[in-house]
Parts: sequence; C-alpha cells; structure tokens
Amino acid sequence: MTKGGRTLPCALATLALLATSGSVTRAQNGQSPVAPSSTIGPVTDAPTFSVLGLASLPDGNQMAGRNEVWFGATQPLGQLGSVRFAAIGSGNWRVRNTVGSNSAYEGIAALRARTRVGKLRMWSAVSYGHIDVDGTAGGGLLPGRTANSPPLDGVRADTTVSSRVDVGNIGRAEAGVISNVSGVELSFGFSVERATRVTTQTLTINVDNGLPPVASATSGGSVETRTIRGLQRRDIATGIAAMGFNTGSASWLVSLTSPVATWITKDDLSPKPRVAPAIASLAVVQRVSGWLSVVGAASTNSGTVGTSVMRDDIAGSRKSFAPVVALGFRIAHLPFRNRSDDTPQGILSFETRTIGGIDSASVMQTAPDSAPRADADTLRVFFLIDAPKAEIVELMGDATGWAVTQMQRTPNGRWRAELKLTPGLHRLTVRADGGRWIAPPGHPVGNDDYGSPVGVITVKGKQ
Amino acid sequence: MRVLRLAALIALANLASVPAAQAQPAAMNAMLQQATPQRVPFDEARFDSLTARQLGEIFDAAAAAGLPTDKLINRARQGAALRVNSARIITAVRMHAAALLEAREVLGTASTAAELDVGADALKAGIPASTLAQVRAARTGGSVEMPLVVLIDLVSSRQVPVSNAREAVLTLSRVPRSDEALSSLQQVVAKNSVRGPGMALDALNRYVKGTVSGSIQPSTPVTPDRKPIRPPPP
Repeated sequence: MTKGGRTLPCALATLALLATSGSVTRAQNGQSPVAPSSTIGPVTDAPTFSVLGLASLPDGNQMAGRNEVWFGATQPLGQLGSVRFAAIGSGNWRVRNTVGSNSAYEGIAALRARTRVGKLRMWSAVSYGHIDVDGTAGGGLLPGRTANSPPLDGVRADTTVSSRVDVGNIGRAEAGVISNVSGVELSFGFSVERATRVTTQTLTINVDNGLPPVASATSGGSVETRTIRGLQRRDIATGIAAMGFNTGSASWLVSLTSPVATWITKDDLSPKPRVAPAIASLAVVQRVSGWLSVVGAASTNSGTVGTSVMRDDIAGSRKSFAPVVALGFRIAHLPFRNRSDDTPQGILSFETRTIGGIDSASVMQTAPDSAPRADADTLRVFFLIDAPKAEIVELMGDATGWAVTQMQRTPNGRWRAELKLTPGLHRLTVRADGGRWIAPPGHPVGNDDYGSPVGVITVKGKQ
Repeated sequence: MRVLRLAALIALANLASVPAAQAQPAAMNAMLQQATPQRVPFDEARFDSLTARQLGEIFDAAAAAGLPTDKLINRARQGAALRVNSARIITAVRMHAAALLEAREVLGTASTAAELDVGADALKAGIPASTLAQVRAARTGGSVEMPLVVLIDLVSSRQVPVSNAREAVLTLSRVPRSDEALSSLQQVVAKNSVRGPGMALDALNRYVKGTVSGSIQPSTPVTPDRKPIRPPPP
C-alpha cells in the first residue's frame, strides 16, 4: 500500500478479517448464522500474529453488545509456480454477556492463494469455520425492563427462554483482484458462502389454563417446558471492497463487505429472517518497532439481531447499529532472525521462506550530456532492483527526503524507481515485502548511524 | 570568524560526547544568539516538538559554523524514517555535526559538502584523520568522495584491515579513471567477502596488483568467474 507508494502491512488484512469476523459472532445473538466476511486484503505473506480486545461502544445495541478477545495469524506455506499460498487462522472468545449470552467461541481457517498477472495481483481463498454459542441469558435484564416488570406478553402465553445453544458452520470461497492507483491500493472481491446453524431453545411457558396458579408463576396457569430445535441454512453472495494507504508510519485500511444476494434454504425458527448486514470497518496499524505494531480498529458491526419467538417483545431493545472498537497489537517479522538472510530462528522458527529477497541493484543512467534534466542541477535516473520473488519493493534515501517510496514492477521481474538526483553519491536503502531495510546489493555500504545499513549509489555527471 | 568556528567546533564536539539528556541548551543558545542570524528551515513536523527544537539548535549552530546543514537534516530524517527514538536521532546528528567539523579541518575548507559528508562518515567509521589527509593529497584537484566511500565500505562492511584498505585506495586513487577502478575494487571485494575476510583481502590485493600492472582494466566485470584463491599460509 502506498503513500508515495508504501506497502500495506499484512496486519491490515488480518484486521479486515477481524472487523468482519466480528460480525460473525455478533450475528449469533440472532438468527443470522454467520455473516459474510473477508479474509482478504492487500497483503503480503509475512507471518503475523495479532491479539486484539474488542468491545461494543457503550451506547451500542445492548442485545448485540459483546466484549471479546480475538486472535489472528497468517503463515506463508510456500509457492507453487507463481502462486503463493498462505494459511490464515483466526479465533475469538466472547466474554460472558449478562444480557445476551453466557459465552461464545469461534474459529475460522482459510487457505489463500495469490498470484500476479501482469500488473494486477489476484487472490483466492477457501475458508471453513465453526461457531458455538451458549445463548442462554446471562441473568441480566433486557433494556427497559426491571425486576418488577410484567412478564413478556406473547400471543397466547408468557414465555421465557431458559436456555439456548447455537452451533454453526460456515464454508466460504472468495476471490478478487488488487490494484494500485496513485499510491492507494484497492481491492475488490466476491465471496460465496454457505452457513448452517442449529439452534436449540428451551422455552418456559406459562399457560393460562384456568387452573389455580402455581407458586412460581405470576399469573394464573401452569408452567410447561418445551425444547425447540431449528435448522437454518443460508447461502449468501457478498461483495468485498477494501482501500489501503499510508500516512507517515501509520497504515490504514477501509473496507466494506456487503451482501449482494441471499438465499435462505431452510429456516425453522425464523419465518422472516433479515439478510446479513453490510459492514464497514476502519483499521489502523501504527508500527512501534520492526516487529511490533499497535493496532486499532472500528467496525459498524451493523445488522439485525435477527428474529425469534421473542422478537415482538424485545423489538425495541434491538437496534440495527452496534459499532465495535478494537485495540491490540500485532507481531510480525519475527525478532528471532538470522541477520544474514532474514530466516527466523529460535522457538518461533516456523517461517517457510525468506521474505522477498533482493538479488541486485543498479542505477540506469543515460549519457549525462543527453540525459533528461529535471532542472539545471538534477538528472533523472532510474534505480533498478532485481527482486523477482518480491511482492513489493520500497526505497528511501536522501533523494526522497527519507520518505518511503514504492518502486514499480516491470514485466521482467525487476523493480524501477525514477529519481531526480544531482551528480555524485547518494545514500539509499531498500527493502522487499516489508522486511528489513538493507543497502542495495552491489553498492558500497555507508556508515551506519542507526543500525540499519545504508548504501551509496553513484550518479555520473558531465566529464 | 576563526574564533567563532572554533567555538562552534568545541560546542558541537562537547555536545556529541554527552548523552542527549545532558545536552547544554544554555551554552548552545548563547552561541546561537551570537552567531545565528536566522533559523535553518527543516521539516519539523516529522519530529516531536522537543526533538525538533533540539535539532533546530544543532542545525543553527552548524549553519553558523559554515557546515552543510542539508547533510545533517538528512541524518535526522533518516532516523525519523527508521523510527528510532528521539535521543538517538539527536545524538547521531550531533555526532555527525562534530564529525563534519573535523572532516573540514582535515580535508580543507575548499571541500564540497558531499566530501565533508563522506569524510565525516569515514571518521565515524574509525578511519584515522591522517588517512583522510592522505586521500586528499592523493586526489589533488579531484573529489575524495569515491575513495572515502570505498574505504568506509572496505573497513566497515568487508572486514578489510584499515592499513590494507588505505594502501589500496591510495594506490587506485592515483591511477587513470580511478573512480571506476575504486568502484570495481569495492564490488570485487564485496563479492569475495562473503567467503570470509581472508578472501576479501586476497581479492583486494589481487585487484590492486592487477590494476596497477595493467592486467586488470577498471571495466573488468565485477563478478569474475575465477574462484578466489586463498593466500598461502605464512
């Protein structure tokens, strides 16, 4: 991702997953089994591990409110031809909600493939997830109700859900394309998923049958307990859009996932279920060190809580907008590396490849006398990097005011940047796929003030 | 003016030798009041306000001392881009300013800003000032940028002893098309240094000998196919 062209860290893809997978959990409070989510963003395959805490905003939907811990990881698996594979895993555990549910957990695993076709980068992924929610009311009171409130008023009887368990599975396939326009990386995709959920509810029903009231009942009648099991199966097609850019050292991702079509093939509990919601999310990654970043995210997490037998009674408690925020950290580019080749070592040594190696670098310059001049003192020269395996190559140096600049890929696997330089020596450093900054291979290495090698390139002037 | 330069040299050298937290803004301010007609502009927004103020004082003092402030500003920018902490940036900039002053003393006041910048790097890399003076003497009328850049690379990154690197650079600085010869020397040594310091030193000696004798042209490919030969044991 770029601002002046810079890599969008893969953490943002993780966050795209975060923000949307949040909706998955949230949806479990209602009938929507699993909301669509994107596992894809403009990413590289660097291994990452993220931990975030999610919370609903205080004025959010109390029925949909949630506080949870989220984990996410990306691991490259290798390369087959020009196609790169990576595994993405995420999971979360929801803290007990006094109103909504006791607990919930979910896990989603995805296999992602990426390749480059010309200047376009393409991706595709398949995912499988499992969700288990103990939806039994946690003992709290619904919004607007007190301990002395009259019982809920059903059509024929007062009912109370004494227990509720949802178990859901999801399978998903998605694909898309990534392009870079004026330094902003744009990603568009499409996913198709099938979600299946089994809901088991136990209802306590106070039936007015004319008999003397029982001690526990608040009105005349007897108490019955019924267990209802429902199956819902839904197929949904979703559009996925993401935009990433950098501001200084912070990377941003704005994403939107929106259902474009929904087919509900079976729904025993909800005759008129609503469709899954569109979800907008904003994520920011602020790099703290070479391997540690602070992550923040916010998501609309909008959508229906769903319909249920209690729908009419608590409709006023449900809102269609329940934003969430997240804060956490991301570990990437593991610190336990062999400094010579970036291969990680030690207990976290699970990376399967070296992050985008740079093979060589060179300066291409036409004859100084005939070279196009940017002005009276500067020459336009091209800095070339051989890094055919890299996804993104960046440089910074005196010529760019030490601002990160993304190089342009050429069809033969080289990377090119046009610089305006005065004749003489210039300090420069490069990196591939967001790895360590290194001196351009084949050029002298200058003195290092900050522990990061700097190369020196030569621009020839008039003889 | 000479007195003013010496005062700036002493102040910068002192500041470079102490941690940033122990900086002496009072002394610096006093010097600035005497010597700085206007402030040196730089992109302050890339730094926090305290750091920007301290950097500004260094740049102003450097300007008053006649040093190339753009080189110092680039060092500060580099630190910000690499996200190192403020104290380290200030220390690095101060050290570079002090090194620039020393480089100017050694290389001469007629040296270009680029020459002073590379000279400062050479001094920080542990290359003796006397070596810089020898390089200057060997390149009368020419730039010392390339010889010093190659010298820094050989000593700092290729584990070539300073004495060997100095002799090689001085020798090649006197041959025709010396910049090309020096550039090729650096690349040949870099290529061989991955096999160890012995290979780097051997490649250096062979290249210098071949260049001086005329058997190697400066345009010789930088990655000769011939496998380096380890020098015989003493």
